[in-house]
Amino acid sequence: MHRARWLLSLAALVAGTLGCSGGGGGDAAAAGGGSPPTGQIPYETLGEYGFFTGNMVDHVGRPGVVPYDVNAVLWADNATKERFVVLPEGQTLGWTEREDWQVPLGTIVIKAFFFPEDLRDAGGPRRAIETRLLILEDEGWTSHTYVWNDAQTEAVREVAGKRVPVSYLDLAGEAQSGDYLVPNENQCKGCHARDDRTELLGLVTPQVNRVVSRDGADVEQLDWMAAQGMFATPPSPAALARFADPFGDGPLDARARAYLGANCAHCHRPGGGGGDSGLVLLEWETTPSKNGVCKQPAAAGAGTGGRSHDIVPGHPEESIMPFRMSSTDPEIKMPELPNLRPDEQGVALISEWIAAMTPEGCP
Amino acid sequence: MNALARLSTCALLVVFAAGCSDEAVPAGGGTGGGGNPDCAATLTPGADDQSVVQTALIEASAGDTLCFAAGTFSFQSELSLSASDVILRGAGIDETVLDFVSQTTGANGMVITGDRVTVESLTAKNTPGDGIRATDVEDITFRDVAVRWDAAASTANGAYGLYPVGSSGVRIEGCVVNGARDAGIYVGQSERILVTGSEAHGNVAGIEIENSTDAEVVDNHVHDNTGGLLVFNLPGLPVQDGKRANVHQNIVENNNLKSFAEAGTVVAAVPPGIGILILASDDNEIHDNEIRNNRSVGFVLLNYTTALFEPHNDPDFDGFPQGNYIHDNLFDGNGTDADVLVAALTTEVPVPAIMDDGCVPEDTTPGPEDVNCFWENVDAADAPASYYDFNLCGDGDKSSDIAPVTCQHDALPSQDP
Repeated sequence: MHRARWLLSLAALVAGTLGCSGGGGGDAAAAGGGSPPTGQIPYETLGEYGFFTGNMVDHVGRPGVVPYDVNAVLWADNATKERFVVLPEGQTLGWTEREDWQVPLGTIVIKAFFFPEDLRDAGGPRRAIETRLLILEDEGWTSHTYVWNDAQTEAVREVAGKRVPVSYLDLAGEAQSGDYLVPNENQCKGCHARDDRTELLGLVTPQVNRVVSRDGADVEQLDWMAAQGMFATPPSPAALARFADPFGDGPLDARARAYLGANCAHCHRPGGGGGDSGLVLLEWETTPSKNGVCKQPAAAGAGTGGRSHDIVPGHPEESIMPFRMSSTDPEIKMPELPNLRPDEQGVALISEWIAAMTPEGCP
Repeated sequence: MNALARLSTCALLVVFAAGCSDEAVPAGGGTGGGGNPDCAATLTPGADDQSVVQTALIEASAGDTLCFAAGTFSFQSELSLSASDVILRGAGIDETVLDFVSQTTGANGMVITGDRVTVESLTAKNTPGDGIRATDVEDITFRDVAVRWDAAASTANGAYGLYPVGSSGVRIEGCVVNGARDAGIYVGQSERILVTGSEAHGNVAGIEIENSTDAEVVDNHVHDNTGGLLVFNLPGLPVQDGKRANVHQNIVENNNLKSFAEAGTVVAAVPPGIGILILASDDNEIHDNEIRNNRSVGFVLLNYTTALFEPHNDPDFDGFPQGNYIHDNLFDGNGTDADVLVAALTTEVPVPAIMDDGCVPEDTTPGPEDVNCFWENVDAADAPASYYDFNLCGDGDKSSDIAPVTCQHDALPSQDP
């Protein structure tokens, strides 16, 4: 334990102070927007890690703080997100066909949550709400959440979660306001835990196997990551699976499965928090009954909405799945955590997918 | 170590690392040692129960006992405990009350994912969803815990009260669950289970053992639910073929509550007035129970029939109960005012104490071990309890003759999880 703390301190500091080896010099404190670390990992403030350069809230990673994007985004109540991975100096990732990459001890994965003032202008003015870290320690991934102050100058560790009032203009230009829910540290496991281990969800092959814009050019993200020296053996993007963009122009079935894979399968899979339901929503699980087709709910309680099957082909209005996705009642709503608002776009996609299923109905 | 080598490359790191000090301890207004040497921390109700209690749960480590002082704690979100080897101890049922009436997020009042956790001497009430759930754990104990909803038989109540699922080693003793819209005490997809000295009343199902193996349900009082005690196997779940529930010395009475189950749930198919029901589960032993005044029927043995339940498409599911052993139970005053679903199965009034659907799996030849045996069940006058095979599958004859199923199986063991 003590050794792990030391190792981690080192890995994080390596990440935060790449200036030491990268030629920038010891400017971590100033550049990171915070003070030098005063405690052990997890630090009390985000600034102590020194991940970002310039104005810290802009989340511009220092060298070694590598951004990545995913194909299918987890719905987070209209928040926009940015993701980074920080490897200990000289270490690399081992990719796999799908999940469970080999990740070196001391790796830190970062995900930041923002609300743009106007969702139609996602690149415009925005407010940072929280920045989450997963840190790979000897005992596995540990999760930590840092909540941004009103002045947007620092984010402070919050163990027990928080409700943060937010307001913004939505995609229709209408003013929205309400609470955004910062999860408590246990709730991180609600999504990331599988068979008692904490797992990465975004840093998996079919999620990161996509085209991204880097330095003004469109590139295959895996190629670009390889060019940053992140893989011991560079992968071949064309040979590997990739999730569809749920709201892109791919085939409906692929888009719906990618959506369910990203938003539901962290629980609804063997070993996941919702594994006991028997519902498996992994993108690559295509057995209809496991996907919920004509499957009776196990323990849905009021979640049935009086409906008998998770999915009734051809009939979203008779299916439990879109009913639960549309609800805000804590007993009914899916996902259980952490969002407070239904994803209307997601409900529409899954409803369209169910409506297109044949043959219609259940026995 | 490589990391140490890296460290030496950067003097600045040494400076930073040298600043390392003890971990900060987030302040919790209602947390203190409390003076009780058994308590790692004592929590007292205050203005910010959610944050104080959740922080304590997150910071709990193996071997800790978190004590909850008497009084009412109020929560807006689900509580979660992922640490193992932790005891949560209140000051007593209805002394320490965890009130979830204001909860707006999370499907449970509390969810436990740590192993070897004990929850004792407290009440959880008014959860909008399930009461206390333990998911995929080893050795969960609920002792002297009440889960209640203030509103009687309300469709706004949560589904399950005590809700261990996918777990190995479940102990529920001295607990009370009242008002659950599904099952009060529900044990699902688990093994090595003891439910004892507990009371379940005012729920749709009092106690339900579902897709679980090696349970002992003993010395409980199960009353005034829609259905008293259910031993179920259901299709489409990861854990199948639950069996060997040893259900004995329970008092199962007056389970005549009008159902308030949500349509679409399995328990919504259970008519009011059921004492004990075995559905599709094998090798259970139901004995030495007092089963009284359940208006539809005292005991029913049922296959997973589409007459009551939705069709399923689970090829691995065996819907026929076999090898069950029902003996030495006392039946008194059941079946006097049967629900229409049960009354339709027989012309006899009152409905016979023991109702057996008589179904056997197609294309198999049951051996003696597969027969559902009935032995020395009695009525209030100590005469043999009435029996009726209602031949639900139409593959035999309706019959009141118990002789073909008068037999014995080996007794099941006790459980001490």
